[in-house]
Amino acid sequence: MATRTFGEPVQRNIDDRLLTGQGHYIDDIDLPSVAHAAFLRSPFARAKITSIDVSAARAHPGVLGVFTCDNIGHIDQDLPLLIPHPCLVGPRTQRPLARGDVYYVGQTVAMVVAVDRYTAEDAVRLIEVDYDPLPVSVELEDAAADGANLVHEDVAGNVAAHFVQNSGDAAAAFARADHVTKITVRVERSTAAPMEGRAVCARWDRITEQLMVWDSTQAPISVRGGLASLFDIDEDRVRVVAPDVGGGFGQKVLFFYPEEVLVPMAAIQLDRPVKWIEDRTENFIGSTQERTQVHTIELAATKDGEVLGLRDFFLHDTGSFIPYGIAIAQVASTSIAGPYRIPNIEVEFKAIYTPTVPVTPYRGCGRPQACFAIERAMDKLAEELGLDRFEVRRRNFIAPDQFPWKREGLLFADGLAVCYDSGEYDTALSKAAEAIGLDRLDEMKADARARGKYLGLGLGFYVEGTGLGPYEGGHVRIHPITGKIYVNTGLSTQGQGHDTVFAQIAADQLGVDPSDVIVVEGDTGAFDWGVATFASRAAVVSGNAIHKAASKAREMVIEAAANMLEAAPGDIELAEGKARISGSDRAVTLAEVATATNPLRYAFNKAAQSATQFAPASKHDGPPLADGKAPGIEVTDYYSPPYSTWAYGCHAALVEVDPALCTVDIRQYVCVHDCGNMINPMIVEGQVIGGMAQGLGGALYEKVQYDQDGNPRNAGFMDFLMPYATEMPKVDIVHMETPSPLNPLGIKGVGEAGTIAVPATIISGIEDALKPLGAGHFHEAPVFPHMIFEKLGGADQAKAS
Amino acid sequence: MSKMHVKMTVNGKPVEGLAEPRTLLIHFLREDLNLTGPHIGCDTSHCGACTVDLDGKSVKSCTVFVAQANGAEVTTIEGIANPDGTLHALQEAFREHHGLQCGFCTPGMITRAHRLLQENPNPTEAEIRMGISGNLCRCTGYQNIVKSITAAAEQLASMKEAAE
Amino acid sequence: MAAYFRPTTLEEALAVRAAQPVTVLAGGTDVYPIRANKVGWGDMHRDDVLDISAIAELKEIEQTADRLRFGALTTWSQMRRADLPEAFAGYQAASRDVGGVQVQNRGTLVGNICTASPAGDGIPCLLSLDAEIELASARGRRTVPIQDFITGYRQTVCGHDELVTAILIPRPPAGAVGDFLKLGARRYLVISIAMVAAVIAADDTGVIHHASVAVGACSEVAKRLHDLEAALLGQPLASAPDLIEHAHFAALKPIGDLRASGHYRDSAARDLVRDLFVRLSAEPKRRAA
Repeated sequence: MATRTFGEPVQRNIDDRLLTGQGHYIDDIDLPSVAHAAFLRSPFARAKITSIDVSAARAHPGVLGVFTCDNIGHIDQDLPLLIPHPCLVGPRTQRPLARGDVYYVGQTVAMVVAVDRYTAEDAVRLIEVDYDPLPVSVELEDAAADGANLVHEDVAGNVAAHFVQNSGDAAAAFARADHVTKITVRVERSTAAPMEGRAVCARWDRITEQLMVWDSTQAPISVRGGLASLFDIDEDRVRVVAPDVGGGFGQKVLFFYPEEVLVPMAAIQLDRPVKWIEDRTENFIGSTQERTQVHTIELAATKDGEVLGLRDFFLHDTGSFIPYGIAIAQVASTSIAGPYRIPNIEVEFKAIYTPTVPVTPYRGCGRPQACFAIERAMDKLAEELGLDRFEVRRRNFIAPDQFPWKREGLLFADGLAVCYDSGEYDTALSKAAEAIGLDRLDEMKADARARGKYLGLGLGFYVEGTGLGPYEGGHVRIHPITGKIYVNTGLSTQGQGHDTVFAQIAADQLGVDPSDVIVVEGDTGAFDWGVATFASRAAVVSGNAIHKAASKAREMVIEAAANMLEAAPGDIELAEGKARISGSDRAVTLAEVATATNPLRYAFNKAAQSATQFAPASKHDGPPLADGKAPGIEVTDYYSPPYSTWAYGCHAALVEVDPALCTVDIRQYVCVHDCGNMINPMIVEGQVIGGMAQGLGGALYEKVQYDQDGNPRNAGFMDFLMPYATEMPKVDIVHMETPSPLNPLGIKGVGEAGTIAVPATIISGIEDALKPLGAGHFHEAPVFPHMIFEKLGGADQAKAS
Repeated sequence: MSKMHVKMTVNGKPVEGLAEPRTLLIHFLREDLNLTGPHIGCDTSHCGACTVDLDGKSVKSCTVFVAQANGAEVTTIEGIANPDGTLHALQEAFREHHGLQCGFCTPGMITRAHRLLQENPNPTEAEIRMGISGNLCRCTGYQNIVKSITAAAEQLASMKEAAE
Repeated sequence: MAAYFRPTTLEEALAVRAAQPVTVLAGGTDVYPIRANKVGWGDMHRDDVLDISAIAELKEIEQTADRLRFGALTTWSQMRRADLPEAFAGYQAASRDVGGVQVQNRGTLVGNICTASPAGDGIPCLLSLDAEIELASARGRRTVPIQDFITGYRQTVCGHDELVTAILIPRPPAGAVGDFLKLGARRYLVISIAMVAAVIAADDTGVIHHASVAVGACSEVAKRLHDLEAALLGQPLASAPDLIEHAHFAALKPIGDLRASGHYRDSAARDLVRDLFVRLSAEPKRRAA
């Protein structure tokens, strides 16, 4: 039997290329006579455009086209509302180029296409626009307040959506509770900041009337569907390819960004390839962001700390538009009860427009906010009841035998009920306590004090609904010449290592080495059914689809090989690229099987001779290809999850604070996580630690800032501080594997897992550390040193002196 | 602006071209020499994806004019592999220890690490973290990058020992 | 279109400088980001560029009996690696902390002072070392004390026909040791919230006979703390951390911005100075570790 690669740290197939500089990201694609696009963007958060004069830009040498809303034809329309929902009271989406109004600094107003980027940018500066600026309310709470300046004149109160969901009877639970804990927490805006910004390149082929688009996107099939629809071209005349993509983290899911529509439009209009590569500033002002939410959460508990009910009301900042519907707020509101039973829940949110960059999911998608709210509330509850933080959690965990745990009445972002599938929460907590050395905590605290520092324990538990539907597909085919396995799926990779785990899944079924599996994804020319990469869903949804397809291919191989070897199918085993009779050396290669199952006329190689019509093996009655049969070994299958799978984990940290400089040092960080069966622990670990670096950003470093006029204050890497290697602590990972009962592979998603619990963990550690100094509670994320300074009364002291 | 004739040695091979002197080295490498390994990730010299070796020093090629590199020796990610085409120990280690995900920062990261190990063949973990502190990675959380560089240092040391 | 000049002698460079307005470029680590920072692409069309990086005579570090001379092209990396008196330890520490290795390899000490950012890491070091700045023009040469060289937020006395040719630092008093500390929201490639540099010399009995202390990022231009220095003179080095008083920092006018509040800056500056004195008063061996 072949060695099963599932669960092994198989090295990645794509790495050799990426390690030698042979990757092909969109800016690496060299297209003859390509023209370059540049954009004029709004310098105001909210303004009326009174006039646009493009004459000087048009006359500039080297300029091929200047576009405003007046000359882009019928794509001058509101871009699609991608995820409609009945609770959207005033859904608004933006237009490719502003018409009449601008709604955030960075909104696209005009596009120039020129012979090179320098020329295009020069011409952009020659465009004259007169704006009539309008007053704005930028901060979320201000925008939600009575009398706020409106982002959209016809959307009262800036309320884009208002939604209430109930599970059980929260009012009754609060009525009978011994104790109610109530806190307000605030999580600030951040951004995905993938190392490669967005990028689009398009070519219109006049002869075949085919539109070829290279897009650094997480959703090529959806982009294709949208482009075909907008341009009114048959879908099979539009091919969208996401080549190597330099990170996405959710920011590259949204379709459409204006540039994604305008660049192909220009390529068609100008009959010339056009390229646009986002620069870093544009990524900060033109690519979506996420995270600002203010939650007021209440827990109704018994005096023993059993939480009977939860109420959460929150404001969600959706920026100036809401193209992605309520997805983020809905994920936050349905993840709010975390790993705890809490049978009675009432969640309510309002999505509020602010005159800022539009908001769509960024790795975590509402979960970090929900985790921060519930975990900080559980800590407060423990404090108020005089209970241990670990113990209060233990008393509320859903027990392993209580799964599936359904929260009747709460609908998740996939429109299906919230139903946790499996977990060992208590074990995870214990493992975290052990790994962090909880029994030595007092000793560590004393040691820190001796050095003039204060040390605290950070703790955060998260759950993550992953692997959302609706579905993905898997296409498996054995190549007759090489015997290599070709696998396709519709979603695309941004570096997670899909190609390797998908290869492992197919390899295990077909008895080949994963390096002999060639995975092509993100190309609508290769496979065009499916949705996109988001919500930690690729392994679960595409992985199981590929597993199903590969299992069927395996059956076909066994049947064909049994015929070829004149053996019983039950005696055939697949290993080392061959189908073999168990216990013998009689075998046929997969290439031979794939060839033999494809009736041939031409013998283009030796193996093919046996499949041509005069070969002995081809002699049979009836047509060479029996009715209902397809040539070769080729299977397409699909997987559609019944519910989301719920991964989870527990983080713990030793956090040291310098009480004078107010700096934070993470002495130790432990992450216990469980994403079901692991296909490739090396890749899982990479996902978890990578996610944690973004979580660390959200805990201590990264905050997108706007001034009161809505101007971005830190639109670049100079002042939007992402962690370097010197900021990121070494992380100890403890793997747990509780299989999901929902899918054949027993897996759950892991893409976002690392990110979710880090702010709750680190910030609770800061709070714990500074308890002896009476610093109070830390209910905001991220925490910057000056905030610690203020909590320690530094500002008051300074004023007093 | 008139173009100037520039000559330099890139990855051991003499190259020349006509370029406006204000052309950034990164643009010259990518667009004129078609060496698209080094990437542009930030425009403000923070990300390090464009890191190359210039006369034996790590530099961000977005902060060098091609005119300033005239006559220089330049090494890019394309010139790191062994002369026989096999991967350099660093590249092997990055693969083995999963030191890359999307791969966009990787050329700069490896080129920087390559120089770091020449400056300090036996770095501590802290020295590695400081040594790559001009390079951002948004995927890996750096842990596996540090592990990869450590492993490569050990491998290079044992190869050196074997050769002596 | 703009012109690009890359002379190989100072004389030629000064002629270019006198003939037209130019952006002077050495390591480029400030010039490029500013250029990229969104007036971005094509901004070079506006200003001619005088690239001084090919002028060999500006690359030298010279040490004589009474002073050290750092040519205008001395990079942070050169500073970091140079064999210098112990009073320069702070400046060398600043050179290790600035920008990350790639920036240290290109960025120059002189570029840092010509940019004249309030948060320029080298400036407090130069103040603590009583540096003088040497300027040249076709009219001749002059030297200006560092505290007079920078006149305000990103402003210097460097004339439109002048180039800074060197930093001159008098040989520090015997036994002087220097140190530098900075506080940033991140370790590298971050604009400092506050930084402090000091050079202190004590005699054999541990009594301070020379003290210079400077703080950056807490005022428009980095400042020497003369009152604090006066308070240190004649006192035992070991007591230095205890001699710090609030009033010694009166010259600072820290502002609040997106990186920190003014109060926090003010407080951090005092704590950094205290930490710095603790380090300086420790045994040299401990300091090195």
